[in-house]
Amino acid sequence: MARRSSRVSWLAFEGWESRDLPRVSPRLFGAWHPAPAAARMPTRWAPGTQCMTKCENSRPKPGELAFRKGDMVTILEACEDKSWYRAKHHGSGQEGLLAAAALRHGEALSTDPKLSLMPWFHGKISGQEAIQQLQPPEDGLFLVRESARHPGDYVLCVSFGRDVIHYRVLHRDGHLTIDEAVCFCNLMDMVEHYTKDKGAICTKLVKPRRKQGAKSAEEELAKAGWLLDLQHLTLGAQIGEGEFGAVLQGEYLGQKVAVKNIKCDVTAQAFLDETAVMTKLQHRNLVRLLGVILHHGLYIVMEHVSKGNLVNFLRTRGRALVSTSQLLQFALHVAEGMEYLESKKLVHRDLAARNILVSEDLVAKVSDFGLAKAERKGLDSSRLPVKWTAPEALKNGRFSSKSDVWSFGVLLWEVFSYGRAPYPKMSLKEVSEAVEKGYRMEPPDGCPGSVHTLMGSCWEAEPARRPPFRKIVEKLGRELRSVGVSAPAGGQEAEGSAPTRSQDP
Amino acid sequence: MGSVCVRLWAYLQPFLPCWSQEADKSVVIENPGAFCPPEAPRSQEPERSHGQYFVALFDYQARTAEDLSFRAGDKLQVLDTSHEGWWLARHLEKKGTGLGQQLQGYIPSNYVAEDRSLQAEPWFFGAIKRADAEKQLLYSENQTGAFLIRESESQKGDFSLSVLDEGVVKHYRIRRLDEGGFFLTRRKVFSTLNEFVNYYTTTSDGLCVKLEKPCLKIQVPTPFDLSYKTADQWEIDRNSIQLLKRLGSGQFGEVWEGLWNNTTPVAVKTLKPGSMDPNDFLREAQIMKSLRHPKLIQLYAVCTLEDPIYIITELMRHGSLQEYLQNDGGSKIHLIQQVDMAAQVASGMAYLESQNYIHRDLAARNVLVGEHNIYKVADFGLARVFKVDNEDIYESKHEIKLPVKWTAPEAIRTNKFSIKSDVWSFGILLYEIITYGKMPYSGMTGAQVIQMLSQNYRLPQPSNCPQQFYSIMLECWNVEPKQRPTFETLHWKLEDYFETDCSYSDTNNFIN
Repeated sequence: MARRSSRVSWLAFEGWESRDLPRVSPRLFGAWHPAPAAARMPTRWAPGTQCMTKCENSRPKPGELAFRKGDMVTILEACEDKSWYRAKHHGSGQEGLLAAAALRHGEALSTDPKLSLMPWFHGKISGQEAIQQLQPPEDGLFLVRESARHPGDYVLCVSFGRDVIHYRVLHRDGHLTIDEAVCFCNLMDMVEHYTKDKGAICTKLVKPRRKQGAKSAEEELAKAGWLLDLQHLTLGAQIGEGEFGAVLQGEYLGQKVAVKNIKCDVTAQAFLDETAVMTKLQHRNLVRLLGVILHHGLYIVMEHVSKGNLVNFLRTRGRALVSTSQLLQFALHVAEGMEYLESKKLVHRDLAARNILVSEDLVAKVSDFGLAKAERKGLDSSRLPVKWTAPEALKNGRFSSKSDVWSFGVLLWEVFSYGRAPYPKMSLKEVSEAVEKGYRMEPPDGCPGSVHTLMGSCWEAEPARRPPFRKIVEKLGRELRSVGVSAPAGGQEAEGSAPTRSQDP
Repeated sequence: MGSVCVRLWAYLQPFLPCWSQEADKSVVIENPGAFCPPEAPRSQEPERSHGQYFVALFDYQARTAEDLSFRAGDKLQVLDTSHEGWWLARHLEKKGTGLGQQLQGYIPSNYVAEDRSLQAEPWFFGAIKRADAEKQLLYSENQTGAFLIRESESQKGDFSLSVLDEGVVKHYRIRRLDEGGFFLTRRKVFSTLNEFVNYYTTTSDGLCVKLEKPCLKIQVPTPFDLSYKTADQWEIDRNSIQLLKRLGSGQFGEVWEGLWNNTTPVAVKTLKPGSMDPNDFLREAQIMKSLRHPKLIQLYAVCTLEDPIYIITELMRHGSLQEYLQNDGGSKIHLIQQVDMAAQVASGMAYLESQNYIHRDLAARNVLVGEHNIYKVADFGLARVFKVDNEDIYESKHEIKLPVKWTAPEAIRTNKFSIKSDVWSFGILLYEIITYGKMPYSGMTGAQVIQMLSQNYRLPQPSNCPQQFYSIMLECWNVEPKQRPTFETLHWKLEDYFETDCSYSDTNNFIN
């Protein structure tokens, strides 16, 4: 899968800037007092922390991150070995391992993921570039930048009179300050404060200079019309539980919706990035994204699919109400949705019957696509759905369309066993060991031989030998035609119970 | 049964050549522990031109003059397998007996296994679960060294050895080579399971104890029907039944322990005159008699030509589950047994579900308890043919005789039952099991129950009830019948109750 570049400029790497700062007005000279040594931050960084490297790794080993001295990275997770982190490089966008000893202490900042969404934040630019951005002069026109001379430091640049004043933002005991008298938890709070009262700076902040060219995910969503208005959303009962929060039923402008509430800020930002991708995807076998709302985290608003998830549907209706033909249709629908994702070079990573929703007219729709990748960033590997995950993905983290095909094979088994949990009576440890040694599940009762053969090909140990979803669609289509389909586009669920051998009086 | 034979044959193919090889050995060393001396069967067998050769797994005492008695281990030649449940067979080891001895007759087909097959070995127990293997080995008649071999639960084609050692059961996985050998340790590989057993009977060699006698096969299967003759008829002569001991009485009659044909213990339900129309009942009996499952009480026959009507069924010695639980009160029965009860009932109900048959009166009083922790569903379908005044049943002010507490709301409203209303009743049965037979909705009248249910009231979680068990109850009581689980699903959820892996749950994204 070709990796899509992130649409968010995470403090994009800039070249070193050697020009001197402009002339500083004498009456404000005090703002440039040298900062005493900053308080040491804890040596264990939480996910989302941005750090600076203090040495170089130009010849990384496999899995390691390449970086130069002074590069900025964001911590993704702490590894079992406490002296290593998994991190993402701001400049290259790569993810990998780096030693804790390579990180500079005292300058780390647990940044709000929304910083990059702020219109006034310009990332790492030089003072001279800032001056150019703040032309023509306008009192109160401002921006915030990361210092090119002192990476990791932030500078507030304000237009006043004919000058641009640069205020260095100091770190004090985990807080930010300019005059060392008023402190703030983050840059957003600081900007908000000086918008209301000029305090120690030359003038109130009036108007941000928006960064040109770069588009935040939020801007892109807004431009495309995907940002929804909280006022039009009515939330109802909880109808499900995801790993990062509740799934609620709701209504938006009269339309019934399902709302997924993502509360963890780090994850919300990652979801926001992924959501921008999701807005470009439309297919009848994918649950449709209607939009997002930024509110105490993130609301993801999706079409409501009335009959719930496929695994519950099969466990409740059972063999009496769901024919083999209908099972084949469900399988075909899922394969068609996955074929579409495959054509867009997207990987689901958590394909399972629980993530398939069934509509009123019995169309199966793939759900939670695109979210699984974002979810992984905040999770450790012990939360992987082991029984659905391909061996190479379990062992080496190599997710691809081919690992999705493996998961599809397990989903097929779930479907044709009417919702049974896969690998019955086997613990997760037993499953990984057995699969590694070549064990594959027996066909469920009543499963057509050709479907079991298809499962087997999905479970080839070598990913390259697994069929693409395009081929799977062809095979299932053929099987469905041979079984004899009553309604190609789906059908109506039988109302009431199955006929019984003894009639009611 | 035919398909079972085909599968068995395909399954046993790899073993037969090995057997031939062993039989061809020029030198046979006498082994006191060997179960099948290689030369002995050959010398005793007549020419094999007619019939198939089987070995008896259990003792069988003839029930009728046409039957053949035999003991476990006897060799039989089967002459006619056209009937599913009863085969015509000849006894092979009684040729020298006097003329008075019956040498040929009908045998129950589920009492025998093909000679020299794996199933014929006294130590092979088929596809039983690990927990069941432990249960059987712990019967008091077994001694240290008692053992059995069973099919692996999780991996088809693999076997497990279970051994009793001073009151504790140990389990060993019998590994296989790709070329077909069996072993515990690669030092010692055996061509057949027989060789495996013979070796470890002579030496423990790493096992906790040397293998001694095989585990006793105590769980005797129920023959189909009373006999070959009655298999295809449901009406029998009333005079063939003796009523011996009254076991209980109910709303519609009494239950007796009886004897059929002076040979066979049965249960006899006698119905009060006028409680049902004989013609309605006979039609229903035809269907009920064709429903066969290890967890369903077998209906043997009926006597409807005069009052009182008799319903003749399989006898279960420990009575109803309700009484059984109430008598115990939590002293010996614990969660493991309670979940097992529920799983067995779900298994029987899953069979009815697969046959599109509705029970209509599922409750602990209609589950019967047999020897060795066997539980079977009884009285399925009977509710339909009883003459019932609905008002008396559903609106009575009395707490007694209130099926309403087991009845799904939509069945009460419409008087239409479905397999999903049975699922609701199963949820109430789960409540009875976990509370040791307590009356559900204690203190409420039927009318109050109906009203409370319409306001989404549900029985609260009992104090000793795990959340996992209670969740299953709540699923059964979903207000929307279509949303209630199938019995097939309930069965595997209960069977796997203690094996659900908690590190990753299959969280449902949507509950509705």
